[in-house]
This record gives sequence, structure tokens and C-alpha cells, in this order.
Amino acid sequence: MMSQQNLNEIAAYKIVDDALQSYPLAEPPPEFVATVINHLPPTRIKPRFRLDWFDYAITFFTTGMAALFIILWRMFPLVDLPTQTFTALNRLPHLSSVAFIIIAGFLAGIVAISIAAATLSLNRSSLMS
Amino acid sequence: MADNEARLIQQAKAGDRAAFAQLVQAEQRFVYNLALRTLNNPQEAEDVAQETFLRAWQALPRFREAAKFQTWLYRIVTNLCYNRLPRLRRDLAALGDEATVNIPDEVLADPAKRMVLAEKRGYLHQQIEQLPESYRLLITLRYQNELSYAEIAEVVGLPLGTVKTGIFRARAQLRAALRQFEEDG
Repeated sequence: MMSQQNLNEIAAYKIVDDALQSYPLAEPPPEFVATVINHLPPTRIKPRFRLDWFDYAITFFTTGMAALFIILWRMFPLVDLPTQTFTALNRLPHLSSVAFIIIAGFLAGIVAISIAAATLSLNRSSLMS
Repeated sequence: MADNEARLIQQAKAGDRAAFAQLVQAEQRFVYNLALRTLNNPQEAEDVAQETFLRAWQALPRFREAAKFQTWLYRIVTNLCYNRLPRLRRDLAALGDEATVNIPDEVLADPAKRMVLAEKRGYLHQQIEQLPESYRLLITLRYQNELSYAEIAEVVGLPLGTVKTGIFRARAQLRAALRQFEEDG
């Protein structure tokens, strides 16, 4: 059995809670929303630095190209490199014409993709800045 | 409503000011009220409320969808209040963590049984304004912004027990004021 004192306390706390719940919300100034929107800065803060798959692909491709360039440079004189590469590949033993075309096409593809990647990365840098 | 809010947040994240204006429109009363009840100064409350939304706009790209937008806003308000009232955080932390504190919720869930005593209510409203700012912050988050204790703890950056202790003591202080009112009256 609850004592009368406890019942009085519960009733009193109900009044307190009623007052807390009925305490009115204060109204902001009438032009508050417009003021906030007018003060918004024109540019958003830059997103934090992060890497995605494209950055890894560019990195992998660029380092691969650099490695290939170094290998070719050590194999052949820098002058007239394309012609000498072509000749060297053509002289490789047991290399059929089909295989030669595939390798030459592969190398041409790498050159084309590297140019495209360089162009894209330049555009990307200008977009990010 | 939640879907609409999520859509507005997405649009605002993409830089849509009109969408952000709708979010401000929906939350302005709660943000302004929280600042006013804590700081007890209309001009400062307006400044803090505006600053809250400006910071929210700037930080919106980093806002995680999993978080509750309102809770996030109230945390910004609270941090700005901490900046303006350096003792506020200290006072809250000093409340301690009394494990025996247990606040029954049945009175909140049973509005039909609420006692309507206009005179006492009006008196208690005056007394709420006299409470320390740490108590005002906690009871505003609890009773007007209708956050759970866990959400309040997240907003003010304090343990759950400290939040419960603070609200318990605020209610006890109001109870004591009511007792005095009844004895005088």
C-alpha cells in the first residue's frame, strides 16, 4: 500500500511534468528562414580528400607506363625508338605475323590509353580545383 | 515525413538551397527554442540558431544518413551554447552519475490523466526560467524537443546517467518550488 505522502508526491510530480510538457516553444523571428538562407555561403566547403577506383587505376597505369618506358629505354637508344622497337619485335625468333600484329596493337593501345588517361587526369584536376 | 526529410537532405547536400530552406522551416522553432531556453537571451539565441543552420549547411556533405538530422542539429546548438557559456559543460559534467536515479515515464505516456492546474502551471513555468542553464538545456531537450535520454546523452556528449541525474534534479527543484508555492498559497 502506498502511503498518502507517496501519493501526494506522485501527484506533485505529475503537476511538475505537466508544467514541463506544456512549457511553450518560443517562436523565432518572422524572417528567420530568409535571413538564414541569405547568409548561406555561395560555395560549399570542399569535400575531404579521398581515393576511389579511378585514382588507383590511373596510378597503376601511370607506374606501368613508366616501368615500360624505362625498360624500353635500356633496351634501345632513345633516338628513333618506335622504329627500333618495331624492328626488334619483327626480328624476334618464332614470332608469327599474327602474334606480331597483336603485340604491336597492344603497344599502340597502351600508348593511346596513356594519352587518354593523361588528358582525363588533367581535366579531372581542373574540375577538382 | 521521414522520406520527405531524407529527400530534402539529399537535395540540400547537392547544394539545393530551396530544399535546405524547407529543412530550416521545419526545425527553426526547436533550434531557436533550445538556444533561447539555454542562453535566456533572445538576441544570442537568434545568433546561435542562425549559426547552427549555417554550420549545418557547410557540414551537410559530411552528414551521415544513419544519423538523425534533428539530433545532429541539436548537437550543433549545444556545442555553440558550450562556446558561449563555458561553465555549462562543466556544470553538466559535475552532475555525476547516480545509478539509483530512475525516472518513471508513465506521466509522459498518459496525457489524459495530466492534471490541469493553471495557476500552479503558470508558477512552474516561471520557475523553469529560473533553473540553471544546465538543467534548462536538459529539460528542453527532453520535454520540448522530445528526445530520449540516450539521444540527449549523445547531443550533450555526456553519459546517460549524468543526463538522467540532471533531469531528475531539475524536476526535484521544481517539485520543491511547488511545495513552497503550496505552503505560501
